[in-house]
Amino acid sequence: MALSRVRQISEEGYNGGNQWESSFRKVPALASTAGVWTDLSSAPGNPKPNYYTGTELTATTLDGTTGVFHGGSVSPKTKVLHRVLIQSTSAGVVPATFQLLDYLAFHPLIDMDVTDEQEFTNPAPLPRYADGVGVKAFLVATNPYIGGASFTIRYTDHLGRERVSPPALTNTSTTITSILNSGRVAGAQGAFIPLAHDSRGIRSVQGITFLAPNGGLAALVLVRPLATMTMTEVTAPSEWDFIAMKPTLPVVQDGAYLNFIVCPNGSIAAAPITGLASFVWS
Amino acid sequence: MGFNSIDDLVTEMTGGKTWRQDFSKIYAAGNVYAAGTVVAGRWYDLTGYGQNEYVHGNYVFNGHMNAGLAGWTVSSANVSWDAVNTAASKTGASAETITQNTDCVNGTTYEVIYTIAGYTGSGNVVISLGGTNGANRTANGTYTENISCGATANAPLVVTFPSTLSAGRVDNIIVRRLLAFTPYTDAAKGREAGIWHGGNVSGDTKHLTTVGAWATAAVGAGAVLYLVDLLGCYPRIQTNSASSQSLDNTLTLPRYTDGKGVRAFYSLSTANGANAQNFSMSYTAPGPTSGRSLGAVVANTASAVTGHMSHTGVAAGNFAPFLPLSGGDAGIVSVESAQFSAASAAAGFVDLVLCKPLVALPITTAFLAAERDLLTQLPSLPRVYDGAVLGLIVQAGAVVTAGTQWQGYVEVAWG
Repeated sequence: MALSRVRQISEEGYNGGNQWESSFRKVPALASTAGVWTDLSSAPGNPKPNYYTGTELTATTLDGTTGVFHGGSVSPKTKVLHRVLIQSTSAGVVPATFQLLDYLAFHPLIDMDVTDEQEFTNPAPLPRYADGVGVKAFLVATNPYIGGASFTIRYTDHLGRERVSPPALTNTSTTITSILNSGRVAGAQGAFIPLAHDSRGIRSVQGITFLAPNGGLAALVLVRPLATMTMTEVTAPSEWDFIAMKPTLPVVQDGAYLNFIVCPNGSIAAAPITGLASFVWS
Repeated sequence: MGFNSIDDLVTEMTGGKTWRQDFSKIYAAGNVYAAGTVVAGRWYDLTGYGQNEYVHGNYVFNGHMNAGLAGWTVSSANVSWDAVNTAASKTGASAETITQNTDCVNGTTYEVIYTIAGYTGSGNVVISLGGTNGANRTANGTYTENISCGATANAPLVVTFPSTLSAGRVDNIIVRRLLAFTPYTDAAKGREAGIWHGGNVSGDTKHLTTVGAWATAAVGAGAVLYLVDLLGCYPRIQTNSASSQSLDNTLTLPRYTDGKGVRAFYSLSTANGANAQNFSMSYTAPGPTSGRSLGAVVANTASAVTGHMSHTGVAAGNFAPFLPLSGGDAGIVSVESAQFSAASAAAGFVDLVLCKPLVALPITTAFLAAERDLLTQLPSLPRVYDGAVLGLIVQAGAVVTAGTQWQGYVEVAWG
């Protein structure tokens, strides 16, 4: 049963016990660079930091209750993101664009100095969006790095075909939590690793190859983007309603691990980022 | 069909009839466009910039082999993808081929361009279309051939490496029918240029609900990013000719077939050098009404930036982002001819593109997402037809530096 009427938001959601509002507070400990997307899941605060710990190169999932909590499992009901509010007390953060992601799995401890293919182990299909449709990937630094090297990933796409991603150039931000494939130099990409032209998503990743030594360690993270939000100024919170203001109603699946990435205007080190996220289901 | 209430929209979206697609366009030299010094106030066609870079009118999929050899059939494992050079690389002592079927037409002539690199050994590298061979090539270089497509079924484009070639690469393969309308759809020609929007929804109608974009540098702001449905193009109109150039309309509009709301722009595919010249064209308006001329004298601006929509800018006679139609005309069904008033100093070319404008996003500030809710903020819910190829053009607000990106997303729903 999915949400089918706006009045259900009030009757079944906010007044019927089928609603949850989470707060979050992230205070990144490390510097970031303008134009380089940064993973807030690893930042101190609450929900607690995720350090991408797991068996080397093996697909590892995250416990949904350790991300931005969204009210637990509601099946057979359907849960949607209704509202997000974000603010910061630091001018260093704004303006900035955020993305709320469902983190599906990650492959930790990628040695970015190795130029042979590092083959991944996939013990199980993705826990959500198992057909891979809409699933994206990013490479996040878990140790300092030098950067300036290109890499490709070999993956199975949404139709079960093996594909190779176009080479993506890593940035030289050097700091942990930086998303390596993003940046502002020719060859760098956006928040996500570009896929082959005919791929609509990723079911699994088989390996990663660096075309030159890059330095550092990283995790390859598979995610499903849910929503995009922008924080406009330091003097006022930014707020979005995903029914009336941005009619997208992102569905949040049972077990989802939710967290944010951000494309900041400068360093967000020690900049408190706080907010609320509200979910309803029917 | 569509949505008859907000409740209906809620029902359809939570039922799964929605798609979200992120995009990123990087202003930097790549395989298609060479970038250069942007001028504030001018418009630029982002089709040839990564991600999803595409040569207007190319009949071949993944011709630049940016992401492996998807779309190509290789004769053996001796042909593999070279990730460093993003090319098809041949090794070994056997003759090898790479092949891709096309929808080229037997007896029709196409311009075929390809690049050979790393040539080691001896023998003839040959490209063929529909079974008709081009010239034998025995050295590195970029070659242009005009090949009349042969009768082989599925009109395959084949590159043959001789057994005596111990190593070599082929890359940047382009097949175009010059001056002939080439329609774009998301499952055939032009699909590489498009922002994916969730596939066909026949029986339902699909609409844009939200679009957002931001720039990653101050020079990328003060810009207007325009999302359009790229319908097709007339490739390679010469700028160093003052003669009228006839355009072929054997193939027709794939969507908006009555021409209503269809607009035109052209962008440089080869820089044209200095010279004062105006542009005119004869087109058919909805009705259909043929023999129509542009509604004003359009000044073409010399430019060194490929991708520049060189009829745009802040000079007298510039029009942007689309070419001005004759008074009362509400669109374009086809364009029959194009002409520059004088020959440009250099042998430049433009691609004349037909598109359906969907939504414009003013990007005010770096890192600040410009977002448009198309249900309540700007109630319009622009329709996205099956097969649409969603592309981007941009008006620069400043001298955009290489590496600047416009990132964003589109969100659609159908019901």
